[in-house]
Amino acid sequence: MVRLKKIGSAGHTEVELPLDVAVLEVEKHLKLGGIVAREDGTKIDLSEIREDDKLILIPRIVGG
Amino acid sequence: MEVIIKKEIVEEILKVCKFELIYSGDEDKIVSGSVEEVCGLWIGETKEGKIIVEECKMAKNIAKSPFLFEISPYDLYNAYVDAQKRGKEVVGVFHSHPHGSPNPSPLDVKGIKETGLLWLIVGSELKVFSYDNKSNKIIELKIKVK
Repeated sequence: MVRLKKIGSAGHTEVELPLDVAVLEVEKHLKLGGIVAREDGTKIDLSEIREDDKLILIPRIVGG
Repeated sequence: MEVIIKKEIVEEILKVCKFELIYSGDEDKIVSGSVEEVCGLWIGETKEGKIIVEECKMAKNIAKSPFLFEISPYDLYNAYVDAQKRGKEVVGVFHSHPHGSPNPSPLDVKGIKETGLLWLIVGSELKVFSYDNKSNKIIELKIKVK
């Protein structure tokens, strides 16, 4: 399982997902312009996601 | 939902977002407004249906525009990690509208919906907005300054 923590959404949403589902979620997030990092702050690419990773999804915040 | 914010934070935000006088080049006109939108983050906590804003952190506007802002994802990440270490969270975003209106633009509305964060706009006055899941609408929240 991969733990994803998403910043925003009235507090932070935290979910545990199977690896393949987590990769799809991360891909969706990256397409929206967000970035993904491990909890220690290192950036991570989609291909580097492994079982037991704890990832933070940081949204793209844009306004005008 | 109510937003409780310290007076010092409001003063700090007003200070960094203040309007500057810019000469238009036309000798009879003076245009007010800062050169770029200013943006930052709110750190705090949610308690019993109230959002308590305890700190504000300036963030780099990577859009570098008088009409747009984009918070540096690295500033957001650093703010998040720093807040988490202290048992706090990133609860909102603030930015200025150098041209006056404190109402959300279509891009703001999209951002409010997508992020779920509080959205403070500093224009001719201060307004805070959030997304209400139940009604699927952007709502203005009351601000209580303490």
